[in-house]
Amino acid sequence: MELFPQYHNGDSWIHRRDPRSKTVFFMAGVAVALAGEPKSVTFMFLVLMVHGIMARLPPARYKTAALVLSVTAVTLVVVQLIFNGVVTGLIMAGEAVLRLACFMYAFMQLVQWTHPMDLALMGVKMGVPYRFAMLPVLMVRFIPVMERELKGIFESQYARGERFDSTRQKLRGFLPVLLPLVLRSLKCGQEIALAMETKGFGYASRRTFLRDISFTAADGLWTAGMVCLSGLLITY
Amino acid sequence: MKKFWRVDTKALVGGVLLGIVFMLVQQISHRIDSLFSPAVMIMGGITWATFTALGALLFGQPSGIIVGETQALVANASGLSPVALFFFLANGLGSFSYSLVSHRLSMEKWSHHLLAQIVANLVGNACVLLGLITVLKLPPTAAIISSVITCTAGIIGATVLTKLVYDNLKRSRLLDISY
Amino acid sequence: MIKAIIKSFSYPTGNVVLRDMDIHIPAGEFVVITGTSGSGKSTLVQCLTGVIPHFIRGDLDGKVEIKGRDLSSLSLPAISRFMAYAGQEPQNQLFNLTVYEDMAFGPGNLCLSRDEIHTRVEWALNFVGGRHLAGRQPDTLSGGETQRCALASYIVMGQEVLVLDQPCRELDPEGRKMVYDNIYQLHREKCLTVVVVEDRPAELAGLAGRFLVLDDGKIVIDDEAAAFMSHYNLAELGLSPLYKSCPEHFSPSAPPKGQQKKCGADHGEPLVQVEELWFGYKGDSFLFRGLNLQVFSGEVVSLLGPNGAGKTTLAKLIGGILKPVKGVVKVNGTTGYLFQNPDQQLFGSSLWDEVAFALKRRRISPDEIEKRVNRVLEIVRLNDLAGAHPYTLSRGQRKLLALATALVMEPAILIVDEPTGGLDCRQADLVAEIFTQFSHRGGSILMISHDPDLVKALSRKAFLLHGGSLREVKPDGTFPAVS
Repeated sequence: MELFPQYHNGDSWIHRRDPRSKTVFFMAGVAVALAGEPKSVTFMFLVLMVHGIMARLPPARYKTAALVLSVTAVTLVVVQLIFNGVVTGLIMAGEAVLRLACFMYAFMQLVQWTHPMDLALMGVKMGVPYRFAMLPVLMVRFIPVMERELKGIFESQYARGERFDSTRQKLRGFLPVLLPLVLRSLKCGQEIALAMETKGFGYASRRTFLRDISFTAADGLWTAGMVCLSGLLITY
Repeated sequence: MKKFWRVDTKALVGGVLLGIVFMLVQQISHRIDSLFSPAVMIMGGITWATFTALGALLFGQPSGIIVGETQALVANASGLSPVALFFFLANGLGSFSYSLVSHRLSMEKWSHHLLAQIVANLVGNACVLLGLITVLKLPPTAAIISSVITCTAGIIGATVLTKLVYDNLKRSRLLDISY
Repeated sequence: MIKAIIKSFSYPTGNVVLRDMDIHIPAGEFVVITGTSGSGKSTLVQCLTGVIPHFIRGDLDGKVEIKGRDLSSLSLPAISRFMAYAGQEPQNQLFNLTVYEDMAFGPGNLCLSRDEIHTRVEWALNFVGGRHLAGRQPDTLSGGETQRCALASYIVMGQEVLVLDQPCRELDPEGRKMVYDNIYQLHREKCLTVVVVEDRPAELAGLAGRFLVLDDGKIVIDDEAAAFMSHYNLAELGLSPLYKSCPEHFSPSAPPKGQQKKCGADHGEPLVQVEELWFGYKGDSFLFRGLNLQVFSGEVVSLLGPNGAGKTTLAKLIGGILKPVKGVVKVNGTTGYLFQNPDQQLFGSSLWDEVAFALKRRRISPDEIEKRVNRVLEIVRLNDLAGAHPYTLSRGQRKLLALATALVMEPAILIVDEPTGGLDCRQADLVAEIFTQFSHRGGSILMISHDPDLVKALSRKAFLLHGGSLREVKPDGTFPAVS
């Protein structure tokens, strides 16, 4: 199971937008998800879906998230039914699930249609030192590496007789998995940091990037549109 | 030699990698929780508090916050934790409050770890509790009970787990680096 | 160019690791620093490059200068403008999303223009024969490709000094030759000063101009290449000879009288039986189609094949870590598994705890645990370090520790993946001896190895895995070509 939905390469109108406008779009979605009325949240969810179709993001990528959200929905429904009765409980649970779905969808979209280096460049343009701004690139790069390390650790401990079937076995096997993983991440982190510094990372306060970002008129229009829409939806 | 504020490359990079590990371990914890306590995060609470502590202990700040925010970012982007929305605030504030306590103590004793965990868990779970009530409109009673259980498990379990892991890391000499 | 006077260096634990060193390396020289595991080679180059004290803590009593500049007064990024230092793990030296971006990382940090960066990257990639890898994600590269790209990511910065710590440790002989030829070519074309740490100095005999041998933190030999290769016996120094068939290099002992173990197809049920094995990962086509294999008691069987053939996958199927899609894998007895990367299993707070872990899980009595652990630690010659944390050991020692954790279970079958990778000559000899004794006592070994000496010295049988099928080949230390 892919832990992190990687950037989905594309050439859609949305892919070509500046990361700052994509971030504003995301924040608009979050603002409505958190502060809007249910009808507004529903409308915003539809707006997000339309954008997702325009960007040609594969729906299959949301399958696992939808499954996990369903499980959460069941828990929320049960709790609300116990405390608030059937009708009110179902309405409140439904509202909560809708808000969560809207937020999750907006976030997953941002990650899938924004190149990690563009996020770094956005940070630099906003005055964040590049040493901090480039950390998301590092994160995306090493998620699959650490996932493989974890898999390797499970296999190594399995070969030593550890089993992870029952709950008791999972609990007993927790430390033999956790410790090597933390030790490895610490060691890898030091080696990576050393390699970065011996390649001049941090030598100057600025550096040359191969990519560039630019905020165009189209970005301005899209951003303004989303800000207005979210304002309307929140106040409606 | 303990520094509160560390912005060297080791701390920044280490924070990101530990944040990824944090997320991977949370996935394992959630699976354990779903088997015997689906409505309440017990293992999840323990590992949340453990990694919040480890990030602050190993890398100081702001890298401790980077550990937490990396986990929150991955959790939200992957869609594998629906309530991860609240982690941005909980992780950041939890780590910072842990640092405020741990920076003043040697962290050699169990009581030091316990005190720091109490502060971090109270702050972190308060953030999540706020979100559960105001955003998800959970009944306050249910939300408080759930948070209290998670908080208690986090304080006790993470005190033990953090000390075990931290002591192991100190013996490994991986912490003998310059900064 | 490089002037280092190191009276002593010790880590925070207090162990003095280097002492009484006075090294001068003129510009344009190619120097090999060698020695047995734990002699201080890596620590020395870390001092020469400023990694100590800027990155790694310790008590350095001495001074290191490059072109008259004291390294202690410069930061590591500043030092990187004229000196490249590449550590032992090339996979952690590529940290961007594509190989091209990794090449551009260093020049970008030096604020070069985009045009200059593109020019340098193209040159560096072409130089190492990696142009076709430019768009690839670094974690999809093979070991050899990773090493070449890591090298390119340093030389692209155009420094005058190149310092490499065991750059070819995990590569097969062909891969090592390719990388060292690249380095030598660069040294000649650009008059670079090159310092290489290498466990197998003979491989650089025709390339390097000077050899420094370390022992217990001191330089014991400092000689020109020709004199070094003719005056000293590398085996006596504990350093590997060239990779070639040399049966005298490993001298496994004969089984004790009366304990001659007969082995082979004529003698009883096989310990490992693989019948009509089909396996493929989810979403991929089948890796194996109807494989058959038998391993009998006392046999050492080598599994050969190109990268990606599925050797490790087959080993995991036999070890029970993976389950076949079709077919049968029967193993008569317990298996012990030595993984290529030993670090993935180490977590104990001491070597003793690490080795005892699996025994405690099986609720074996404390007396028996004590007996077995002490015996196994003695076999791998780590008994003096029983109380140390595994991560304080060298990589070779951690591999021996991992072998100990497999042996302590007294398995009938040992599955070993690159057992001598990262070991120095003495450690590799020890492993060969352990395997010999193991097989003489009736245990079987399934071995994946790129070490031709090891394959030739130990294997009774060898199989080539390629194209999803297995065929028996001669275990003579040569690796059959595959189309």
